[in-house]
Amino acid sequence: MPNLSRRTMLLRAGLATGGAGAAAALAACPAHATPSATNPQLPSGPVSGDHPIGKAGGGNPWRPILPFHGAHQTAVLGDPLPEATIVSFDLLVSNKAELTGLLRTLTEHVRALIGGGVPTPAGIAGTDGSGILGPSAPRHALEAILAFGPGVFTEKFGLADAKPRRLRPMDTFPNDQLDPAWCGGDLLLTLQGYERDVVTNALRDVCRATRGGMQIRWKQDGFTSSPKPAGHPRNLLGFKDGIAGPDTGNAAQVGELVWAGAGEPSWAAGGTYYVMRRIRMLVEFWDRVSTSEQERMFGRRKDSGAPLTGGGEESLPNYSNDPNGNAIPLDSHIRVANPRTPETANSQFLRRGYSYDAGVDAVGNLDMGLMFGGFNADLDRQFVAVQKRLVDEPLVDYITPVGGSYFFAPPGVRDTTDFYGSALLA
Amino acid sequence: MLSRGSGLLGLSAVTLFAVTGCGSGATPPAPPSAAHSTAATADAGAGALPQVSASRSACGTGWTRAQAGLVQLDVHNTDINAAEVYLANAAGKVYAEVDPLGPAASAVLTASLPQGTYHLICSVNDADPVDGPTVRVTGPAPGGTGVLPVTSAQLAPIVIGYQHWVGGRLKVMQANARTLNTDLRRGDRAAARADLVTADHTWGTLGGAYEAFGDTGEAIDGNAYPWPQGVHDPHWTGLLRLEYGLWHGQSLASLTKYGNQLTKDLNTLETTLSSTEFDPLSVVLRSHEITEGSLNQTLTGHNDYGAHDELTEVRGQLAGSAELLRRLKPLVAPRYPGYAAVVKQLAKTRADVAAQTSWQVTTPDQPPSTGHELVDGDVAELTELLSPIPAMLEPRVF
Ligand code: HEM
Repeated sequence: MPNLSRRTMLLRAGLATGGAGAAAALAACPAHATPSATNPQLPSGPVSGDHPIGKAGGGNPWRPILPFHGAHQTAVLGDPLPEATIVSFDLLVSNKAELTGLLRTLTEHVRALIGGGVPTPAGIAGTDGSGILGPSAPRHALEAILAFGPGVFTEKFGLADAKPRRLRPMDTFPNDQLDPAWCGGDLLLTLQGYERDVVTNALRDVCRATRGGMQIRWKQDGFTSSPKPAGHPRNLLGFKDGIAGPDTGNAAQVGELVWAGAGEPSWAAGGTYYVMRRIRMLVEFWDRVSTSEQERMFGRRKDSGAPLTGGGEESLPNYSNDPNGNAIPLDSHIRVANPRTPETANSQFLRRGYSYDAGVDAVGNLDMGLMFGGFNADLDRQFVAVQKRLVDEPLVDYITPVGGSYFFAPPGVRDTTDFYGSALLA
Repeated sequence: MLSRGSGLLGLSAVTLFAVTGCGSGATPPAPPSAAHSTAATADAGAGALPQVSASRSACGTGWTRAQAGLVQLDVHNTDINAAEVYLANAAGKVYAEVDPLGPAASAVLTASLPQGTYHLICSVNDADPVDGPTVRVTGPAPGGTGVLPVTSAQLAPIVIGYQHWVGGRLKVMQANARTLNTDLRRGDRAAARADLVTADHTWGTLGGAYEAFGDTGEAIDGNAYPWPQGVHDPHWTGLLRLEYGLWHGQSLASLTKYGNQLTKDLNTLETTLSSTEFDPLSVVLRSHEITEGSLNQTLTGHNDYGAHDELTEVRGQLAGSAELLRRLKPLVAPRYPGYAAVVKQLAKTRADVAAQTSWQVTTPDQPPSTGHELVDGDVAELTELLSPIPAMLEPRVF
């Protein structure tokens, strides 16, 4: 069945990547996420609402909170939680000592916020925190991911030589319509939790503690819906999302596809390239498109999330049985993004995005979409390669990247005395 | 609309309370922090807390001991009058307060206490404060730090001096308005614009944020938002109305009436200032409110009607904050370990403002310029550092 792009109306002879022969072999990595716990789980805090905290895996947003301390920022590996805020900051600090102080403060506050409990009362010596979590904040109901933008690696901080080798301002891709107000930033902080108020309180606390050191450049709240009716949560185009990708329970895969190391400055080992793109969805347009056309664009069923070659949402798409794309079109999103060939296996990366809903545009259309997040061991080998393959895919008429930036999430905060970026600043 | 009330007391004089032997020289308290208590044992909830009464006859009954760290008491006002309840140590430093606590009401008093001896103070309205029994707090947890409270009597001379200074600034403001009026009548737009910017600076030093000068202050420097017809509303007057006209091609002849009104309103303010006294609490609140105004009204561009003189206004507002801080220093410095940081941040902010050469007003589709972000961050940090001062210096009854 031919797949017409609304953009060109030209039949395509076939895509450059993922030709019939090349698609025959399956990718080296089994490509569905069945994350097993890599760390002992901390007890979860009291959370209101109808959602008991269940097991990790399968995209369950009501999974246990991952530990804060460790060799990696382990929150990277967890499926997206129900609520998040994604905040890009510009640094105002002017030298290495001030940057170190800022990151220490940030670490201390994030650690304390995750710990929860009764905030230390200010008495009459100051003013108290936001109070939106009541007298005692939920314990272990929050995760944080901190990442550095290219602006950290400058002469001002004596860090020009320490830059992760792939880090740079975000590339502009052919289908982008970037708004400068939604691009860039020196630090990215993703705060995620079960409940909006926990995330909001954390952001207010962190900002308050770091006022003169950094200023918010842009901020987007995001959310993950609970599964409808089961399996992975759906994005705002109605499709189950986050199904395929590296197995976070498989240390070898995570080592190859998520944690940076080889070729990087030594401090960066165990960190990861964090791509964040704000991708607007033209949902009104999308809702005027038939379900079958939508399914052909993705290569999966809308109701079940199953690949169009059959099975359930966790089944692998079967490209060897479908060399001409009669079931899963050759230019469909999943087939182009991951042709499952040996050559493209190491371009897979960990997708960790959040839906966003942000008001209305100039013609009365809803401004909503996906805060597309991705973690990569090697930015160019993975995200950039996949994004280039996806240029002009049929879906581009319904999605528009409007902002974002490249960041590098440093290795984890090891213990109660460590802080974000300590190895970099040592 | 007054959020925190005008800075002017009615015609009443400042009430002076007897100083109750609280010397100065307090050890500095911890800076404000929303960090979470690691020593916290129980989650807050009135259930398991000691039930403590607060009244003239039974102040502190029910509280006998505590471990250092987080201490929570369920305090009941058993009196027939409203009360203020303080938790203080032997040296008189206050670690927590419930203010007010109505008759028959109860509230949880939360404090972070290092080891030592403490007592409650029940200050029931219209009566002398009563001290409760001494309670020994033991244990290794570090706890927070207390602050020696301040009375109205201690604040009075500072408030009077500050009011005098404001009066002097008002005279400068009146002179600025006269010059502006002259240039409006002469038909010299360039000169009138320069006069307006000068007046903006002077007004900034007066610290008029958050309706410090009530309705008269609004008539002098209110923006067009409250008026039904916005910038076209005939009732809108003052500096910003003049700015709008001067930068939107309105004839100078049509603006003279606003110039005359400005002079009238400044004279009204002068009369008010000479016949009423500043309320000490309002003056203390001003210590962070002036720069709150810089952040929320000036730097946001809400009050920009064409002159783009945000930085000039902020310079004035910073000068006003500095003056107030200088006058409050004898009370602030011994109580606030962050005082040196405030002074440093104030200097940094003024230097960064002065160093801006190509100021860009932020537009919706652009990220703020680097210079804007720096100044915004500076003023925000300064305001944060100033914010404990009202909590510490709020006049308390002892
Ligand atoms: C608004 C934008 C996007 C939407 C709505 C979207 C949606 C989806 C959906 C529904 C799937 C199938 C379910 C799954 O496996 O998770 C999928 C898979 C995938 N997407 Fe996207 N996506 C978007 C943008 C991107 C971008 C920008 C990239 C990379 C540059 C990307 C890379 C992938 C990859 C690698 C897969 C998995 C393919 C596989 O391994 O089978 N997507 N996406």
